[in-house]
Amino acid sequence: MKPHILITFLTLFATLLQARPYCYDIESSKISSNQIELLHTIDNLNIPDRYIKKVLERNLLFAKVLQKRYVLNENDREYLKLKLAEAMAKLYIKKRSREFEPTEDDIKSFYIDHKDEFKPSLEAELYIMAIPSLPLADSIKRELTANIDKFEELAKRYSIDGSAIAGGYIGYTKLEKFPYALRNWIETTQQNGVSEPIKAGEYWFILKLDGKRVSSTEYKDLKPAIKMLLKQLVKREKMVEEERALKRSIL
Amino acid sequence: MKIFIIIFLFIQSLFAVEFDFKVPLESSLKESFKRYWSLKESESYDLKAIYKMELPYLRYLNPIKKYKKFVPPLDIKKIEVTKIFKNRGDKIEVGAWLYNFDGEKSYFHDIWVKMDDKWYHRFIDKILPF
Repeated sequence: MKPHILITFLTLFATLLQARPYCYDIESSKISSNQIELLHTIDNLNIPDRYIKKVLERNLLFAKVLQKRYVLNENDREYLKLKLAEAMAKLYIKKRSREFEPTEDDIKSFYIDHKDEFKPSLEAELYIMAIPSLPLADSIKRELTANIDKFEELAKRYSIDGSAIAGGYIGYTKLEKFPYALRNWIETTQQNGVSEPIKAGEYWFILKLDGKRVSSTEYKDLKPAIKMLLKQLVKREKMVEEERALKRSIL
Repeated sequence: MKIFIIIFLFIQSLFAVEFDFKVPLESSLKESFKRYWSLKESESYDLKAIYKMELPYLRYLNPIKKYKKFVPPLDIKKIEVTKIFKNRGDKIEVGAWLYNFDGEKSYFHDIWVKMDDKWYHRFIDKILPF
């Protein structure tokens, strides 16, 4: 036998030896149908059926692991169990979300208790663009000077900020959320309009101001935010409890 | 029968918490304060009733199972309210001395919040990040 044929043969043989066990070797299309078996049999995860069902409803971590044909070692297994517990807890709490609705009395009593802490502050209704270089920012500004109505279109095309998808619109935002340079322009500008490119951090920003107002401290205006805060606090607590219980049962 | 009632009332009065308000408080607040601290006294301890007197949003954040840990029964002979720290009308913070049957005393702050003409106790919970 010629040496290069022998080498090819040995390489093929070595590849076969390194092949993953059958159970990991699953095509993406078959993932869902194979997950139950996998969760039940591999790694002794000992996960209760009700959670497996929930995991299957969403293509969670196992699917990702399987898609990558990733072989689990001891550390990975522990990590995966933890991640799985977290994912399941999140899913479980999300499903129970409706049970955590605060009542009118809950929200109102929070407002009365914390009334002194709600201070009015300046808010601005803004469109924003984050541009990576000054020459590009300058050319955008020139276009805007010719036609201010193009702001949304240009933001969608050039802005690297997450708001680009909404044409740069970020709605009424508290000024303290902005870096000093941007805040300074918003505070000092006398009328609505578009700013020059302003450097903040690594990027150049162009802002379009549509109005300013002082935030309200009235109950009716703060109610949605209080409701969300209370709900989040309870959900977080419940999630920690659920995770703890799951980790106890899985680990 | 009457003698039993008299004995019962006499015994009950021996364990009833004595209150002394050195500062002027709204009468409805005084009543709520007396009721709350009487219910905390070990002889008449009633967790569910105390829980109902807490601010609604704190009940929402702290289920009774968890709340239980914050409010053990107390040995209370007398409570003396000596100072008003803050009074906003619908929220008041008072300072008071608690005396037990061993003659020991301890100082505490108590906060009450008024909502819809009803006073609610505000206990210090561990959930809120502020």
